[in-house]
Formats: sequence, C-alpha cells, structure tokens
Amino acid sequence: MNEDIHEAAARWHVAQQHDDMKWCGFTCWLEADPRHRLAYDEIALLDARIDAALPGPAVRGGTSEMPMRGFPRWAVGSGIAAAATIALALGIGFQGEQPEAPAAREFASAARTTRTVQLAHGVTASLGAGSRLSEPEAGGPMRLRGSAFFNIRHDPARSVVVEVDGYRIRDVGTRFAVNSANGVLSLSVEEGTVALQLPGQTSETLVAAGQEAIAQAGRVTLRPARVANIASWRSGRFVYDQTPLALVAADIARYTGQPVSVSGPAAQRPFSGVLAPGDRQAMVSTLTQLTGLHAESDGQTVRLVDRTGG
Amino acid sequence: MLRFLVARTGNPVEAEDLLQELWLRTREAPPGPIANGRAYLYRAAQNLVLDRIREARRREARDKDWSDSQAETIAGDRVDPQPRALDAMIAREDNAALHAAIARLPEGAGRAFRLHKLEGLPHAEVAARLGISRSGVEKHIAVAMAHLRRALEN
Repeated sequence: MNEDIHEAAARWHVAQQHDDMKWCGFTCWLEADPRHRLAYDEIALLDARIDAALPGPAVRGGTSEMPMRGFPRWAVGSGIAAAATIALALGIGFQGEQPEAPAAREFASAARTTRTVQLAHGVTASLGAGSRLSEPEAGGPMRLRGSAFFNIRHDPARSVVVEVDGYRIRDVGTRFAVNSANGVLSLSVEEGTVALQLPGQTSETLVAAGQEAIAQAGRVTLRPARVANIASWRSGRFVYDQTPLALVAADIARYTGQPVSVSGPAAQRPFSGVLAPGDRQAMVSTLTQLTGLHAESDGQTVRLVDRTGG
Repeated sequence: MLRFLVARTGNPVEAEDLLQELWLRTREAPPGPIANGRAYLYRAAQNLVLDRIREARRREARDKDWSDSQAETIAGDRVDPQPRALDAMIAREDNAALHAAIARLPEGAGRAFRLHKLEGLPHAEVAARLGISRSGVEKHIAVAMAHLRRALEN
C-alpha cells in the first residue's frame, strides 16, 4: 500500500485529539478511496498497540509500572481438588482479613495489572487489577475480591457455584464476568447461562448469554449486555454501559491502588462511557467530565460528589 | 454523523448500528462540562469503531488461545509449559521490535514522536520544545507512525 496514504492517515489520526480537527475533511478523505479506510484502520490499531506497549506514556507524571495489557502470568499449582462443586465466595471489603479456610492457593493481581490463572476442572479466571482469588486445595469455596472474568469448560458431571457476598451464581460451562464493590454486583454472561440467587432468597434468576444482571439492595435487574464490552479491562480499557458509578469508582480504586469512593444517590447513577487506564487523577478527571460530578480529596481518598443537589 | 460512520466503517449496516449505540450513550450520559460537543461526539464515534475492530481481531486470537490452553491443563496441572513460554517470547520479541523501530526513526520525526508518546507531552509543548509549529509536530508524528507501520509490517 502506498506510503503517502498511511502518512495521510496518520496525520488525520494525530490531528483528531484537537478540537479544531476537520471532521468533514476526514470524512471526504475516507470516502475518496476505500484504501484510505484500511490504511486508517492500520494506523489506529498501530497507535493502540504502541500505547499498550510503552510504559505509561499518555499520563504525565504517571508511574511506569506494567501496562494493563501485560502478559498473563500463569500461576499453576498442583492441588487436585476432588470436589465436584466449586464454590466461589466473593467477599466485599475483607481486605487484610483472612478467611478461616484451610490451605488454599492464593492469586492476586497488583494495581495496573491483570492476571490469568488456570484453576482445577478447566476453570480459567482472569483477575482484574487489584483483585484477589483464593482456591482451597480441598475444593471448598473460593473467594474473590474485586473483579474477574471466568471461563469454565463445560462438564456435564459438575456445576460451578460462585458465592458472592451472599449471592450465589451457579453454572455449567460458560464464560462470565463478575464485578462486586460497595454492595453492588454486576454479572455479565458472554456464553452459556448462569443462575443468580440473591441473599436470603431461594429462587434463582437466570442470566443468559448477552445479558447483564445488576444486583443491589435485594433487587436484581436484567438488561442486554454488549458481549464486546464484557470485562473490557482485559483489553486495556474500561467500557461502561449503564454501570452504577459505585462499580466504576471501585474499578479506578483497584486499578490505581488508591481509594476512590462515591456515596449517596450518585453511587447508583448509571454511567456509560470509556475510561482509559491511567493514574488516579487522570481517570477521575475523565469521569468527572463525563458525569458532571465533582471530585473532592482529603489527601487520601478521592470522593465523587454531586454538587447540583440531585 | 451517519455519513462519517459509513465512510469510517465502509459498512452502512454497521454504521447504523454504531450510530444507534452512540446516540444511546450520549443520551444516557448525564450532561457534563464538555467543551466541544461536536469533537467529543466524533471522538466517541472513533473509539466505538476502533473498539469493534480490536474486538474482532482479539476474538480470533482468543479463540485460538483458548484451544491452545486446553491442551495444557489437566485438573490444574500444567502439563507442558512450552506453548505459553513461546507465546511470551513472541510477545517480548514484538515489543523489542517496536522499540528498535522507534530507535531507528528519522531524527526530526523520532524526536517529536518520543517527546509526545514516551514523555507524554501534548503537541503544543512538543512544538515549543522543538521550536516548530504544532502542525509541524503533527506532520513529524505522522511520518514517524508511517515509518513504524512499515518497519513492523513483516
């Protein structure tokens, strides 16, 4: 392909971060020749790849820790769990407090990194940044704190049970993402069907592929989920579609390793948009711009507040 | 906007779908202090398109990775660590190739590119640092990206 086309594509790409970008001109350029679009795709993908490969370039003063798209570190132990049922318990805010479980394999991902681990029975779990998962060697309940995407191989002989803060998620062979924080649970199913049981209830809500369940305060709502956006952090971006702000704030806190909170009615407010990983200030600033909320800091915790009074 | 999306995706059906999604998202987003609504909307559209392209490519890669990992694991034990090690090696080589290509950029383009991408300076600051116009900086960075694309093509 002609080098001039790629250079022109790159010029359009570089210019788009400014408000004076000539979007009509760009449209005309794309329409002029189908090769222009393909060249532009290549340049945009290359740019995304560069940003992913270079340590923290877009954020000034940001630390140069591992970028989010690090290679999964495959931590594999040797425990063969005999139990046919795997239970996962997702504890909210039990930081530093060890569950009184027997010997367990612990997997943790640091801030700014994701990690994929192979567990027994064909279960693969990708941990979001700042999350922790423990798998008892005897096959008892697993515990997860934070967010994770599970890929479970279908096996008619067993079902997998996930206990999340009193919620129970049961499935047989599927792919789904869980995110839990501040009393809000999000469960998105990419493939298969899972059953969600709320705390203190006996009935189950079926969540099918392409659906997301949001549970809080004893209620669950189902809505369509874009499969492309499920656990989007795996690809280096946080994509939200009507996600309660409580979960968004928790994602930022876990990713940066620094506390971010949102309280009051704002915590339940749905947020749609895309956050690029960065330092806390950059991510919070994007969020406040998109939501109109204000960020207050006491030097430790950044608190998102609604100053409009509702 | 629809015309832009059709031009950008080359697919009128996908463009309609994207426009719908863009519309839903902007309508749901609580009004905030957005300085330039038009540029914001176009950039949001650009991000949606890029996400879809990346997702499509990733899906291909992921399906392959998944079948690869199936062969490796029996009840939590990794049987053969070789393929994973190989993947990591390939990824490391990719990164090394990228860094080498950045190091080989022509001087002016390379400096502008590094100041912007590695040090995170905005275009205007790169321009001030190098004593050239902002448009000159954009030209340099575009040349650098075209170079990198060619260097990494194989």
